[in-house]
Amino acid sequence: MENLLLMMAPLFSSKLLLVLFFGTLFGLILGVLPGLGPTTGGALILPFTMTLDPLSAIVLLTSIYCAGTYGGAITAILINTPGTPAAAATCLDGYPLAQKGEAGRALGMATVSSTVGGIFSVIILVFFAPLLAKLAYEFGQPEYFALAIFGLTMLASIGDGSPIKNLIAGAFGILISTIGKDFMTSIDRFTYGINELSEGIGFIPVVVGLFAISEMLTQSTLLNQVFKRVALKAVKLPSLNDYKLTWKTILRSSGIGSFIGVLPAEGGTVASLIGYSEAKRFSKKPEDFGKGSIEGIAGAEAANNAATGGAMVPTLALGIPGSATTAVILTGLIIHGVRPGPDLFREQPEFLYGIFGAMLIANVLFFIFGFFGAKIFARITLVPNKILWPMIFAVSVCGTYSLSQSIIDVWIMLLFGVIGFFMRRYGFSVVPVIIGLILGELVEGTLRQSLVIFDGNWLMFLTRPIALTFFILSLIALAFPLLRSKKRKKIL
Amino acid sequence: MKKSFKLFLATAFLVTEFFVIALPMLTTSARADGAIQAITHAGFGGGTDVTTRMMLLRARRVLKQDMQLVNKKGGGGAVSMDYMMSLPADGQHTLTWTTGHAVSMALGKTKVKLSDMQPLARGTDDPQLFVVNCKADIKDAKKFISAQKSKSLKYGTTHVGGIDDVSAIAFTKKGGLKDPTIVAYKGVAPIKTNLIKGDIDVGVLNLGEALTEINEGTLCVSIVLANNRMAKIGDSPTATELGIPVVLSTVRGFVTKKGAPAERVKELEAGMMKAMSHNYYKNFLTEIGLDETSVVGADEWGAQMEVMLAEMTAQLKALGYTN
Repeated sequence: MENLLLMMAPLFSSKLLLVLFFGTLFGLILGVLPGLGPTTGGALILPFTMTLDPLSAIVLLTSIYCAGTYGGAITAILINTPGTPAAAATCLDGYPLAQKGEAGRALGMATVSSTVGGIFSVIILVFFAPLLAKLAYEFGQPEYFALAIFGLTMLASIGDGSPIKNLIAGAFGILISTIGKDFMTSIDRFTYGINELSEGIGFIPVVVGLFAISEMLTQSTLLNQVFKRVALKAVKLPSLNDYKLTWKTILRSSGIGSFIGVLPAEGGTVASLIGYSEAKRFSKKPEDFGKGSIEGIAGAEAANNAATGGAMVPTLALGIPGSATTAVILTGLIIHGVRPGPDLFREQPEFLYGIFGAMLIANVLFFIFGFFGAKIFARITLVPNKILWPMIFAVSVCGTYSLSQSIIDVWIMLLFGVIGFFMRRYGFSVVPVIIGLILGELVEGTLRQSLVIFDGNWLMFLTRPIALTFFILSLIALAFPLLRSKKRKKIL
Repeated sequence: MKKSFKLFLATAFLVTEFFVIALPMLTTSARADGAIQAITHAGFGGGTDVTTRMMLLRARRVLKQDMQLVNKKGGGGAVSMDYMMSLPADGQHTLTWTTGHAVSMALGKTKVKLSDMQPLARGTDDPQLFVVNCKADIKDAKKFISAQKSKSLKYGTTHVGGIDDVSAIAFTKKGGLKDPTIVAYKGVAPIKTNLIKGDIDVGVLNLGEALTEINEGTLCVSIVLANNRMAKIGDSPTATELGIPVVLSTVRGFVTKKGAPAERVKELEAGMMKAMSHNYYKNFLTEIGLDETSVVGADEWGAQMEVMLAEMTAQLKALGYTN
């Protein structure tokens, strides 16, 4: 009961409601814009959250996450361009349905299924995250090492690159994480006498560079691309018949999305693909899929939004990001002095349940915005790239500079923008770099700390049940890309 | 190259030029409006950041001048000191100087010397504590010492080459005890978790960092590295009482660049002292387990800075961190 009251706290705070309103609106706009999405948006706004208290800051980021994930469906349905990678599966049936003159029905179903999926996942988050948190003091440095290894094994299957390319990108991220003063020896590594680098490379310049700047450079090669738009007369609720047809699919995909979201380093993209394929498998009319099936939209959208709450479970309970956007949220927690992990549930329950409540409200808010604003949001895609992207660039530079008032951070951001551009050009996903950067430091630090604790005896890792479990899970996870590629072949 | 692409590149270039070149100018001009720069080297929400912000709360009003927090991270404080030296000696800035800056100077990471800085006031003086699991025998200080006579204890510290491992090593050397095994962490939270789990024996912490667990009865303070016992943990003896005279603390105070007009220096010192005598600041000290004796004026603070630098230089040399 007390926790329920804590969850409702955002409803009684005008400041938090304002933050939620702004975050949801901003997230929706970002989701609509192809190439942007909640990850880039979160990274862009991260430095500005420093003017907020920690709860408002994380509420802002999570509302962007929830709304941005849904927003990707709008352009996926209207112009066959997913606003976010997680909406890619929505294109498969959303756009054909829109071409039949039923864009409103398609958007309506996307809105309802996203909302149900999102709310379902928050309920999962509320119940399962505290269970994980009970392990609080069972997690020593050896357990964190094993967990980080488990997170790193997911590198192969995250993002849109091939497993080998993902691993290379992840290794690059780990390499970057070694820059700076080694906290266990006090020796500077790869700083070349530049004192500003002794604190290491910050997450924000790298994240903004890899996502926003590299996307800007990519968009600069597509300036004359003309998107074919379809008529949108109205956004309407799905009919009763549509509900009868899809409620099982929505519930199933909500479960699938929540489960996949919980796995560290997985996220909405994989969830929507699997949600879509399972919808097809259980459908009475699988032949309609790819031709405008309402079940296909429901399956993909419920799953990708359900992954948002799921991905917050390992992020908050263990400090391991469940998706690319939660990696940005994790950065937000860290820079606000909040140490994600099991202790958080014991030490700051009001903070955590405030976030859960805010996520719940964000799902309701984007439902309202989605129904009344989808038509307007879709028009953002008409802003010419040559105006839109320089504006985004300006925000990126200001945001990165403002964090530490360091011009070196701006140069780092630009450098990683160029690196990200070439990575994408040659088929590498930039997401593993971020995961490598975050987990690399954890892997190295906890391994060395564990070895000091174990007096150098490696075999002691095997005496710790939780660590051993994560090592076994890591081995299983290594086989996941093979299973996924089989699943993808089936879908296509 | 297509015309639109050229236009795009030109726009991007102009925007870059504006922000990359103009941003520092914009921030400088903002400061020229009369605000005092309060320079720190620490991350947001850390002890130094919070101490500085708490001082700023009232100092703005007392000095009748706006104060802006300027964050200059890097080099363990070296970047912040170098930045201060790049400013004119006009008393329009302060730097929060800490034990970390002393370490950075001792390690030769900056050419700035103590004689380049004008002490203003001290904000906190937080003694180093040896914190243990309350279930462990070594919560009794005498058993702590006798245990370390026969075996090396594992000490959790924040980083190495700083006040924490210097505290552990100075204590064991002066006490003729077995060398400590240092397990370095990036923050205090895992030190506490590992102490409770039993993976390490001792955590080198400040009172405010472990106050929640101490109040809960999960963690106990075995030994205090201060001249006198601390009011909140009056049962915990000092190292000196136990015959090992080691006194070390995490200290934060304020300085400005040497050469500022004497009147301005006095004005800043008086303003800070008044600001830190306000209830806001006193409550903050209480929250972190300290009292108003933390706050002292320029003379005492300047003398302590010299002692600290000399002590850290000697200790780091003994540990092999510097020649």
